[in-house]
Amino acid sequence: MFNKKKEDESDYERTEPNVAASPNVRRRKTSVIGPTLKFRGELSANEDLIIEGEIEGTIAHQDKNLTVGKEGRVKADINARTIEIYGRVEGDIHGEDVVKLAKSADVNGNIYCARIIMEEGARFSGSIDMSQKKKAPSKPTNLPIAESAKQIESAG
Amino acid sequence: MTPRDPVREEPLRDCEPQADEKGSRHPRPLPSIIGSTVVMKGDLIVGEDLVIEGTFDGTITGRGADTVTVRRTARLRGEVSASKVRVEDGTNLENTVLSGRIGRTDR
Repeated sequence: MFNKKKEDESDYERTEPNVAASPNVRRRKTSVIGPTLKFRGELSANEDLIIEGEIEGTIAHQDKNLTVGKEGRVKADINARTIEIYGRVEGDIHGEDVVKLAKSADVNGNIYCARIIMEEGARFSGSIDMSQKKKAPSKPTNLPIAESAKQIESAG
Repeated sequence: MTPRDPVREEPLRDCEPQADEKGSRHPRPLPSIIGSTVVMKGDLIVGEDLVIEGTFDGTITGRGADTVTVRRTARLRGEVSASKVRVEDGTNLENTVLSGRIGRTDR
């Protein structure tokens, strides 16, 4: 019982502070949406992303890793290569490679991925599709948001 | 001034999370970092330090004693309001309205 409790402090607890604190990881490009941050709109990124805050809208993430932390609350469809969920997600999850639901995860939506890891205790409501056909995750280049970025750049 | 790109390589000092070396399970909240490849469009409310290196189109509102740091790689359009706004030298702030205690930073 006690041993089990220690395990409950999942690997996320041990790795998460290091991820953001380590200068090495900063060089590897990791964006952090902190626990007090609330964002409503469109988000796209081409670097690793840790979400501890609240996001509502769309997340188009390209070929990178996305982590929804324990405090993370996401109401959006998510596209990324590797997706780890420790918090709450409402929306479809498209993982090109692996989708991991930790025991603290609470997911309401469908999961499309090649491989899945679901820890005991994870809450999940939806379907899982592991068929090989590509779901063609929306690329930021096809999104209006990418146009907006171009406009801002050209204006600058 | 010598070129010091990429900006990301520089330490973020007071914005860097103060990692607890004893491994405390309750370190101070991590600052938010909007990296250079991130594109966001919408409204954002933040209650901790925020560093923007990427593209943001919309409004950023700080609550509390937070500092919003805008790096020169950032492309902003819209409004940034926070108790402290630090803007790195060389940042393009066309189409941006800043409000709060605004200061310059070279790092």
